[in-house]
Amino acid sequence: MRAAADVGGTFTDLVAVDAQGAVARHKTLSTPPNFDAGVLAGLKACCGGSLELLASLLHASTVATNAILERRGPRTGLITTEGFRDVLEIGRLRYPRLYDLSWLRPEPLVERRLRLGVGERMAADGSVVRPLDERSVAAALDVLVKADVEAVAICLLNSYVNDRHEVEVERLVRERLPEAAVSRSSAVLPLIREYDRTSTSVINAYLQPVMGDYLGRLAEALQDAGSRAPILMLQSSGGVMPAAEAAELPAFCLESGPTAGVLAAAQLARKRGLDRVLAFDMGGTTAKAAVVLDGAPAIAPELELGGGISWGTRLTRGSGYLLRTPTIDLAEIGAGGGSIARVDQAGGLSVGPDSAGADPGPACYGRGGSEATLTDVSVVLGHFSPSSLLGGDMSIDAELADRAVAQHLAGPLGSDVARAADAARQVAAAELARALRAVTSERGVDPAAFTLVAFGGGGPGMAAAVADLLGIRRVLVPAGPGVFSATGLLGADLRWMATHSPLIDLSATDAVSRLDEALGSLRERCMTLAAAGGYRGADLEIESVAECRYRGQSFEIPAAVPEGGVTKRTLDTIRDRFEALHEATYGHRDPTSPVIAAVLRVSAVRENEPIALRESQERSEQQVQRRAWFQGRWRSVPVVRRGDLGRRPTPGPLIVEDYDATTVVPPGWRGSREADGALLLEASR
Amino acid sequence: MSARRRAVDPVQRELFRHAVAALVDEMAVAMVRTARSTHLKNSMDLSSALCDAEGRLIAQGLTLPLHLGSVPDAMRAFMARFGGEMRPGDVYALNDPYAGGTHLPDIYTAQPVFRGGRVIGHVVTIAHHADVGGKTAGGNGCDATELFQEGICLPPVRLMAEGERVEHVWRLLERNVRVPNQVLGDLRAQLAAGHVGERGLLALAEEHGPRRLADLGAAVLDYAAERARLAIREIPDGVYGFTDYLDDDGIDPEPIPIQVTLHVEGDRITVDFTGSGGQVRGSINCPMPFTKSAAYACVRCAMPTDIPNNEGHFRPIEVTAPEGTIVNPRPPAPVAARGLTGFRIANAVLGALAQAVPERVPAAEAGGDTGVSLAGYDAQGEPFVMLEFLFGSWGGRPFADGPDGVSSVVVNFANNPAEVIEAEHPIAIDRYEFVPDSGGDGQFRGGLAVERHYRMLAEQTTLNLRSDRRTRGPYGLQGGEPGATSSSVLVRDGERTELAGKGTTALRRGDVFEHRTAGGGGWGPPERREAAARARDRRAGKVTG
Repeated sequence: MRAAADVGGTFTDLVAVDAQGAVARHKTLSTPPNFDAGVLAGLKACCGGSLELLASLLHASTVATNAILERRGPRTGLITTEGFRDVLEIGRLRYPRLYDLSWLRPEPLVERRLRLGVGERMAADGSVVRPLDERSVAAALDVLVKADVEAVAICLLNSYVNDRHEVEVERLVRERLPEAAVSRSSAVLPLIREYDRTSTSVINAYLQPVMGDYLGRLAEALQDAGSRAPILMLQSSGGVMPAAEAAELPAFCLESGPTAGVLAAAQLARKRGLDRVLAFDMGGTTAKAAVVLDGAPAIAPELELGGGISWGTRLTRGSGYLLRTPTIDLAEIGAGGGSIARVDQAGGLSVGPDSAGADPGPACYGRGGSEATLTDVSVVLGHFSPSSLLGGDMSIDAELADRAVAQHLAGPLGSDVARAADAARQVAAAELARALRAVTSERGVDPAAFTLVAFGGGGPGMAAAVADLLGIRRVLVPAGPGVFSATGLLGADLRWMATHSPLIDLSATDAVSRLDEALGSLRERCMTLAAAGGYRGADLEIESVAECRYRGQSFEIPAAVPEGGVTKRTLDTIRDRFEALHEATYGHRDPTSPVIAAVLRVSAVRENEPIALRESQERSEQQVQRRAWFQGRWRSVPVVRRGDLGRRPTPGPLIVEDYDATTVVPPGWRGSREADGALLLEASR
Repeated sequence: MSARRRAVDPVQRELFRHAVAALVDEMAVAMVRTARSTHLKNSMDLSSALCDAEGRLIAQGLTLPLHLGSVPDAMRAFMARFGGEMRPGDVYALNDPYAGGTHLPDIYTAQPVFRGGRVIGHVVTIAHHADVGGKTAGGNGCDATELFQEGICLPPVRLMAEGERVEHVWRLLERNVRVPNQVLGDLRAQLAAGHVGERGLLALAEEHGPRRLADLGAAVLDYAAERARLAIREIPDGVYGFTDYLDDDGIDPEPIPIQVTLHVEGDRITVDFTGSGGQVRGSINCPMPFTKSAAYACVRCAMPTDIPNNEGHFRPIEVTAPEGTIVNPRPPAPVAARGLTGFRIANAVLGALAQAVPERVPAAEAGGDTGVSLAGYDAQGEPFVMLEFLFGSWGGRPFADGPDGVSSVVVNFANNPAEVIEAEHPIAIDRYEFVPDSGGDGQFRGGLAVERHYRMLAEQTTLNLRSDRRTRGPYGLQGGEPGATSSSVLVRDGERTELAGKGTTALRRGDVFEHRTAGGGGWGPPERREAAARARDRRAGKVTG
């Protein structure tokens, strides 16, 4: 039996599958601060009380992310090159929202007095300008010892070229502070750009004790429950790694929950042979979008944590903590079921980014919320049940929803309640479409050619409306859409990654030998990491990527490195692949310009064994119709359970209610149920 | 809501507003990602915009407020020159500060977008280029006395004709700049953004059809204008004056006043620069489009942040300045370093606004006064130009300290990583840190100055420095103290020499150029500062003693 746990701030989702492919799902409240309790309770519920047969626990958790957002990590120190202690605080200098003079910078994770410069200097070519002054390191350590730090990050200038001084500092730190967690930037992330490297190393150091404690407790709890199953932690790049490594490199495991959702969509894409999938995950406060091409999620080079809305570009940086680690390329936007819809003085209608959250929640929850949320809007329009959600666990007061929409939207817009609700829903759809466009049109790809995979509590309800805006004609709503992310964990591959920025000019005479050497040492590093986890070369597949750019550019486009030994032809292939992508995205090639392989990334992958899930489907006991608003008028719309639908498409309007989500099939769309239990929505025009 | 057109459904308008905002952001991303010069790709001294068929600015990317107000003037210049003869696949360029531009390094491009044989809109980009020739590398020299010394000047010209490069224009540019690979590469980045913009606009046209597209554009402008009027109505009626000063123009030693008078009346604001200094011999003269931009950007800071970035919000704001002044010079007055004056205009306008809405306006920021250009030839004889702008911090605010180390409010540049500079230029960065005790004291302290040291690795490097705030620190408000003044030092063979705020200096290998920006002004009387805040500053070493 294999199980997956996706621990979020509010809910812990569990999915278990046995050798025959039978699936059990469970959703339970999270149990902060001891999240392991919730995981264990859910696991037992899924596994029939006993964990003896559990082979592995795949895990995604918000613990690391929350530790940063809530600043619950340990006191951390930073040792850097003299003259650069404020790099961490200054960041990229930009403020996140134009004209907003009220911006407050998030407190750096290391306070200034614990950011200490040491005497040393490496030149950009790796030569030593000034040898390491050990006395200055000792002085810095005096401060850190006195301050009782539990974690230390080390980031020296140009260490991505030559790590000698950093290694030496690390030795000295470990001598004086044997108990402290240590993150050395050249080990965590040997890439150019000192702020990116410093920030990432600091986050890693800050999280090491947190993640170590958490995973330690969870392992203990599992053992106490009679299981020896290994815990495999999901990385933001989409692979899992053994718990021991995750405790060393926690920075690579942030935002694992959203990542799990994209993985799930990618697995679905591979299973069905879909080459263009857009993952659309909408929860209570945010929606996430990601592209999956040929079954592989797109990877972004960085992530800003705690910045509110993240667009995965450099445009809106400055509001959070920067991680320069490969991350599944997500666009996140503040629009979810709890997002508040309102009308400004000039008649402008907006939805989000502020949310009513879980408490008080939407007005219709009857817990004191009075503003109109997207959930209220859906209730008013009859898209959501007027009496209860979550299979009856959550009761709904439709009158409160009506009142909220009337007061906050219809009144100011001077329209009736239904039209106002419909307008808010359309604006929300437009916001959601922005997130989806950020991951498609920015790459120069037309979203219309994609299949939208919609999940999360809110995704299935909005999917068709969003698809209409983007010209998308096919939407898939997988079985168990509310815990789909956890399902994605079940099929995650083991992945070890090594990265370096050697800046190889592909047209240089020594390019073949340099590339060969660089890839070789990265491969070796991956193998060493895998071996430490008990995995041998024979089971591993190697993937190599060269992130390239034209000389003079600063941003790379990843090109897959062909397998086999490096030859002149390898270089040509890399260049070709890079230029084709460059042209597709930006409209031009530059055949006269040298191409630089700036960053190399090698992964060792051990594929997870595929499992075929067997789904059971619920059917309704009787035919139900509900009054719902579509295309400017009220209609009587059938409300069905997933099991009621067959392979033959049923035309919309139609509402499909699952335990954990409601799927809306509007007029102009039709819905059918696929063999794997997924709902397929197709535009009929 | 009087001016609202009824023809357009507000829901449709909102959808359109979101769509064009996303599109111009995508254009900006395309430019950053394909740019070649350190300054453009890291600092993001660039803008992207979408105009309607008549050339009205419908949306601007979230990059640089100081560019926003200048797009309409540039568009007018393009339309005046090419209006009747635009063809699909054409791209036009200009940088003439007296014909739609603001200074020579900023090259504007515009590309008409056609559908069914008719222009449905224009996509516009602005990029600050690493060099445009002239006597000073980097194009920001303060010591030119005529426009002709500042580099190659492009009146509106065709850069692409029906999809083909207009070779003679590209070659002319190539032969007139120090780093042609960077300049032409950055121009191609502008075309890449245009490509992205055109694709997006065509998709919108496909969705709405040309007629509704035009109506929606107009409706989005009306909406922004209405929001701006509502915001101005919140500002108490009255006449508010403020004067701030530039140290000098780099040639003549006298301080130069920037005087502004705001007339707020109902839902309109007039920003009048009468009383500002006459145009100067040095190149800090600020052409009118840039003056207007700075004024709009500052008034905009007193409005809600979510007003769409388009020219609608300029409608209730009138900007006037007598001709022949530093804020509205006559040709051929040199203008290369006009950015400096733009920052001071912003200080002056915000200073006046602070009297009208004291609870919303911070004390003076350090500004982006410092422009550093280091140029020469590396060991292989290849030319290099390293251009960057240094930023200090914001002033203290009515509710919080000024953040330490952040870009100017009106440009929002990013910084250049030291490692990138070192990898691409024969320059080493030896320090990039806060300067303790440099923020103006106050109930809410001004942000700290930032210090940067450059060590020269090439045999010969020419430094061109454009800086200010040497004699007067950024002002405090409501009893807050001014921020520390700026300083520049040349360290040669252990000997330290003070450098003037503006000028050109020949540097040798091993020389170190040290610059400190000014610090932000303080807000409120220092005696009202909380003890806990003082303790926090001391603990962090941001304030000593």
